[in-house]
Amino acid sequence: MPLSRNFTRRYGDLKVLYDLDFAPHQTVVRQRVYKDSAGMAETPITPLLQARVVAGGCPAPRSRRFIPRRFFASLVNPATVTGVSEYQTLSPYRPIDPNLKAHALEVLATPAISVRYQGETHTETVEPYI
Amino acid sequence: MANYGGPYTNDLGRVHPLVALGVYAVVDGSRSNTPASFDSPYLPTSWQAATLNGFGCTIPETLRMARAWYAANAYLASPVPWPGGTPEFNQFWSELTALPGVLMATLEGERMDCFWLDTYAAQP
Repeated sequence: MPLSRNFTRRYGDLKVLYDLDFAPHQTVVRQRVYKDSAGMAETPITPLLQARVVAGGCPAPRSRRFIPRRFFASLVNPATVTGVSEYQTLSPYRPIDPNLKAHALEVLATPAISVRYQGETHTETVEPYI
Repeated sequence: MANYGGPYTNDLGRVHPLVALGVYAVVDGSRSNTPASFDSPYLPTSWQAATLNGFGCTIPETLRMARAWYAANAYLASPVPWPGGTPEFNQFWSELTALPGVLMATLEGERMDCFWLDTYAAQP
């Protein structure tokens, strides 16, 4: 299938209540949700992530001091050159929470052909959370 | 690289009893080996108490690492054997940031590929 030169990504943002590795700190971070041409979400948003979505009209903030822990889900997408798109789904549950493992199982149960995980990363000093 | 070994708990709660916890320095982006005498001023006492000098096993996941910046262009990288949210994790960071030689501390998260994520997540 020829690729369109004017390929446009559609997306929306969710605000998610996120537990930092540094307990008991919590914050609200942004989950970007990419959509197909029909408006259906392509990014895997599972019930455990949906349970942490925060309502409200203000814009969703991007996490600035750290990169949230997240799953990288690869899904088949014929519209791309490689035929695969990788979507990031953050996990709002900190490691000692059993919901992190449950969330991993939910993402693994999606049609994703591969899922990998990266833990929370702080590129700036962690002192504000201590 | 100074070699240490000790228990390591991954983010999904799997405890590995004896893991190789290598500590090394990175200066101007280049990794270099360090003797244990160089490491000790930048390693918290709780970390030193939980580890042994010597060797351990390698594990499939990439360990979560603390970066103790002791100069603007150099840091000492050390594995953090406790997962986030535990009291030991918080104590480690409190001690690390309080060390006089540490200017700043940052965290590089653990990484797990699909096979091992599936394996560990399926375990009770």
